[in-house]
Amino acid sequence: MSASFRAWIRGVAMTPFVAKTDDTFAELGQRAVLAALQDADVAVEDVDEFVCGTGYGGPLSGQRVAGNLGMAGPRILNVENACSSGVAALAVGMEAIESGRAATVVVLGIDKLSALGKGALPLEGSDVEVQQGVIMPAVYAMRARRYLHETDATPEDLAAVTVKARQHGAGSPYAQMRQQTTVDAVLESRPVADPLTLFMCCPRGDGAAAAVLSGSPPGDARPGVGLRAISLQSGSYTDGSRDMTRSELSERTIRDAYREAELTPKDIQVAETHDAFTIAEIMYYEALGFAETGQGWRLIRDQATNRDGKVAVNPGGGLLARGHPVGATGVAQVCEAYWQLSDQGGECQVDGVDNVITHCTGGGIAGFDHGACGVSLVGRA
Amino acid sequence: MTEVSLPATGVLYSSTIIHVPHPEFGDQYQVGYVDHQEGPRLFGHVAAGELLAPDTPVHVDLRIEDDPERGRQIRTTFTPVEHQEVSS
Repeated sequence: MSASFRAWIRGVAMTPFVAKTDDTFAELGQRAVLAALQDADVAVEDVDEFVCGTGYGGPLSGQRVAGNLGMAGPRILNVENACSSGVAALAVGMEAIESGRAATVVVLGIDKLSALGKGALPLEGSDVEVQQGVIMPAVYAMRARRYLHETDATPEDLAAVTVKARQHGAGSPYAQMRQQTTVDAVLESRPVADPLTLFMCCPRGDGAAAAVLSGSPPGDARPGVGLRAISLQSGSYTDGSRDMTRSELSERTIRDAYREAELTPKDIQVAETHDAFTIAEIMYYEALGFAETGQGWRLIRDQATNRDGKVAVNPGGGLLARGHPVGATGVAQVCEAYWQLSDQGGECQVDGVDNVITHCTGGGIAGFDHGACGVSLVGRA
Repeated sequence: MTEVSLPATGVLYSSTIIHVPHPEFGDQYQVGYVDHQEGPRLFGHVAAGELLAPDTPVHVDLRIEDDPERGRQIRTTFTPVEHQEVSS
């Protein structure tokens, strides 16, 4: 194996992310797994281990997917880590390859959130903030209000993130929100938690994404793409004050991933970042090292993160356009990275991509910045 | 863990009005985080008609209720200091 890859990515696939699928949970997962195996040219019998990341799928999600595919029998592990469930599953898969325990691992990220009804995601009812009515959009709304208070950013900048996401998503067959929009339309959409409007919040959705990891490169002429690093961290706890205009957890995890991959922000052409809400993308420009602290809004104003910008952020539309079936997102980001690195991005393709960073974080819990964060660096051999 | 006594006032770090209906709190309600000089940050409801600006001083009212079905419930309410002086 290339010394610089901790695991090769032999193939990927995802289902289109939709508001509501007619598939069962198992069928949804099977679509992604079978298509990824086909993409990788790997037979079901050759899978040594299957890792399933899901936020809301419940017990034995992986077994439900694997059962009548003929993939059950070997080790199946189910991984839950809120919005980072998918990338956490990827980390487990990568470690299985690296340790030599498995030669071929299938990693699936999946959620079918339409089964939960509409509205904001359900949170843990014993949490002291949830008891008092907090919802995830409100946490980001408070981040946004403080960010607007401390910087020269404006609500129009928050809206511009959605405009860019929809422009990018218009080119993706996997995105849920492919209609273009305008700053005015975003600002005039229904208020959710001031200053965030409906269009500034990512839609939920049903979807699955899968990747086939291997200890060896593809045997044919296909490009070699692999994982240089995945860093997985948890949020730190405090009952005191915290600067909500930054994400300490994301900054720490991103720093760790860059260090492990021996890369810097200057080496990155494409970032897949966790834009669950527009303010998040602006904050994460700073965490990813693309802008100084408090200056992230300038990138969206200067259109520096468009597909043809200085660094393309979420060229497939990100969570804002693709939608966010929680556990699927971390793997979907790596699918997007694979397509960019193997020139299969179609209308979303960015020119000259050598390194992609993916960043996934979330999980509302009192006293934490976030529950968990996972960052991968994906490269071309 | 240590026990600390908190003054009845603090400073609003940030707040938002939530427009997603809640079974207990209605069609819209304002929530926020309040900091105390002694360290702790509290989350609670903001009792004000309009969205309060960050850094507004507020009075803090904290109640703990034992709900037979849901267990211990904490209800924290922040009222702008000036508003309270005028109304009391």
